[in-house]
Amino acid sequence: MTKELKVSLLALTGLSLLSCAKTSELYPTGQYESGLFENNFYTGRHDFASKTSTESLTKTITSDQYFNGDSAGDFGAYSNDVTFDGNVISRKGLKTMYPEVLNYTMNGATTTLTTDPAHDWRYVDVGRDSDYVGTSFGRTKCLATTDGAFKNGFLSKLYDGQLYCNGDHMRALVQLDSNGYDAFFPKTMADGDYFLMSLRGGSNYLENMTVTSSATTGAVVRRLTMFDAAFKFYVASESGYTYTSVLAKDVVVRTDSGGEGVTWFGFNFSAIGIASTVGIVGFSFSYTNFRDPAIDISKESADRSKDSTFYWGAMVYEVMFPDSSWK
Amino acid sequence: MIKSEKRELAEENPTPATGKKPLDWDRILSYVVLAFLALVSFSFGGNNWTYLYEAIAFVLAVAFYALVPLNKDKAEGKRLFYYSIPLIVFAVFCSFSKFWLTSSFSSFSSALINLMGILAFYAIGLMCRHLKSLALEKIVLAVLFGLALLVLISSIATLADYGFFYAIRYAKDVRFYDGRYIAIADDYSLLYGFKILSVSLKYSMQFAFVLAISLLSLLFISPKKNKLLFIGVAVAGDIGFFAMLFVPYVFGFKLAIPFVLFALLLRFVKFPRATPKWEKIVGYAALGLGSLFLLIMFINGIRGGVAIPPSGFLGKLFNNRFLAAANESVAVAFHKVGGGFDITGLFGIGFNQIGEWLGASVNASFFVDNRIFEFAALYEGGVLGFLGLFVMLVFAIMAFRKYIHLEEALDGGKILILLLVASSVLYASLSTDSTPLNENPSLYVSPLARNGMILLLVFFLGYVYTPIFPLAKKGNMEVKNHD
Repeated sequence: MTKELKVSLLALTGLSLLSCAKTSELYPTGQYESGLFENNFYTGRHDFASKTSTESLTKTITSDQYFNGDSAGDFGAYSNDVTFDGNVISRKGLKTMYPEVLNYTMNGATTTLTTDPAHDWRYVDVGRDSDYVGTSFGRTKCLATTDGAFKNGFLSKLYDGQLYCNGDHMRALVQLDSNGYDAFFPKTMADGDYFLMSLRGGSNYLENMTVTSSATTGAVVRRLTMFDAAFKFYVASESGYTYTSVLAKDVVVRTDSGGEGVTWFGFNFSAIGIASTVGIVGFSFSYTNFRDPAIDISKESADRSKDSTFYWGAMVYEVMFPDSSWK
Repeated sequence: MIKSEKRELAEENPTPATGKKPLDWDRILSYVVLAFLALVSFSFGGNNWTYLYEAIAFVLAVAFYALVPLNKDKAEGKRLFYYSIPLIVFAVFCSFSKFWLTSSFSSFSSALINLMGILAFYAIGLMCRHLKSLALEKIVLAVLFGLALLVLISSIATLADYGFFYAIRYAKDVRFYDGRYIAIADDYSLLYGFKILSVSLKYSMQFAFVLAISLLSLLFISPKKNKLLFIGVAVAGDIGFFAMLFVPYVFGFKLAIPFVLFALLLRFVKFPRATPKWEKIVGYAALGLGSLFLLIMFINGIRGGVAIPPSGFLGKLFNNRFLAAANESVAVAFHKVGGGFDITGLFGIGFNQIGEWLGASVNASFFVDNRIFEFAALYEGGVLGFLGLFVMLVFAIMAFRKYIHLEEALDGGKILILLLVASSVLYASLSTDSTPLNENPSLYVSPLARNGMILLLVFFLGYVYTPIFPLAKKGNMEVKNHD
């Protein structure tokens, strides 16, 4: 073998070893999009599990401290009461609590962004930002528009500004069990005071279910589901990471009520006593104290730990830090 | 004194007052053309800069006309004009069309630049034959190395991203970008403009495919007599071949089979210099069948698809997925929703025009699924633009037939040009992609307008021009070979 050939082969081998730039996060085609509900949970994503992290602050918030919008007629806009398990719980929507989040200022002129699902950005609209930024709330204020680094990876589904299903079903959302996920952000937060999630409940529950060899039939039950939402916001520290825990009690979402039946949940950091968001590098979401009128958590599963007949999942469309900046 | 005489005199007698030699415009223009062709082949700056190349080409064409002595024979000019009519029609109607003038990213001035650019590339090709310093070998090597550099950089970038044979290893995998998935087997890191972007395999591989096919010209190039060309083609062709192999691009290798057979046929079967009768009969029969097919397709399209029953042999022949873009283009252009005939369909379709086919709605932007670049002329340029392209290709086949047989022995350089043009056309005829950017799929990249490969194609159509029409006057029937 000549010296030149050896050098060439060595160079080619070296090049092949470099092949990792885009292969770090690949998925089989159709994963999380199967016809079986229980196969679509996005599980096992816990970036901080192997890191040293300590809690620096804990906040438990109640429904008067967060927005939890739910209105088929006027998404994100309402302020009304919700009856759950015989109790009336007062809810407020984003527009009532923080209407300024829906404002968009360009060249000194301020307009109010559209929150109507019919005019919402969809994942198939990639590349058509000029049609949406400054018009659609989702695409204007999403993390992907704030910083292009958020466009890479599976979780880009949560950063792209698609706040509703709009007929895209699993393509548009991430289905999470009660263990949720935790992940690094591709950038570090420099400034920001709001947090928003667009989500709904989904399940494979059917009333009077009949299973035959050819089909499973039964009635879909539209209902409300309640849980306590747990969040952690991680900041890098000298010894690893510190995090601020936020536990939002009694968050209500609509379940099996169609892809546009989403809830916008969120809060203002400073209003709940978190003075600074500077340095946030990661985030986790999970839920506890799960209550659903159809699914008995003692028998069925929202954490996929049991061999259940029925499963429930948080169908998350978006994780947003409106008007934040990242570096 | 005519221009050429002046030039010869100047060459022989340097200016006595200064002692300096006058500028050798022949040599200067040769270098400029070579550099220009290499840059266009390299897609320097990407599609965003094609406007600039078209504008530069126009300036170059004017410079050529002013500085290069040309044959001003009227009869010769007439038959050149006849040959050029389809190209002019194509350029005019594919530049100034409903499609472009109704799109938000085009304007009258951009249409004018595109028109002048196409004509300028053609004119430069025609006039290059008159440059003494510009040999055929230099031109093809400039083009090949421009393409090879583009392919080499892109191939290294892709291998760094995914490694060797990634289309097999990750055949069923996807990655996510901005909420949507991208199939890894259709992901290629192409140098596009001044960035390396994620581009579809179909679009990216056109350059490697053309290079790989150029290897077949080695059957006709003597390594002893033309060492530089032989080595140049071997190096550039291998870059293309290995770029395809390392993916591997199976479609490209399948598409190479007819070229291999064609090259072997040309190499080992002797074809007469003058077109034999049987070849003419086959040619005219194919042309007749093709024209008849197009006629029926147009009638069916104008009727919104109901002229031919959707089932049965004819239904399968005319209502299939390959013809979908053409059928729908004709229907959207001419067939008014709810019935009626729209004469403005002659000039193509509006960029966001909708219509109906077989009673079902045809949405705006239906054409992005088109894989046949000739049909792009139909919706971008209308019937006249499409016919211009169709006739232009027929004329090109006739001209190439004569061109490669100008001498008794087949010349490797000429075969190389034939392979470059034919592989580029066939590839675009089967695998064009007008929305190639994986991470920005709404960006329309025209297979015809402001397209570097089309400009090179047009250049070569000019360069290989060999009269196909008889001279109007009696006498000189001589065909000029390369200088």
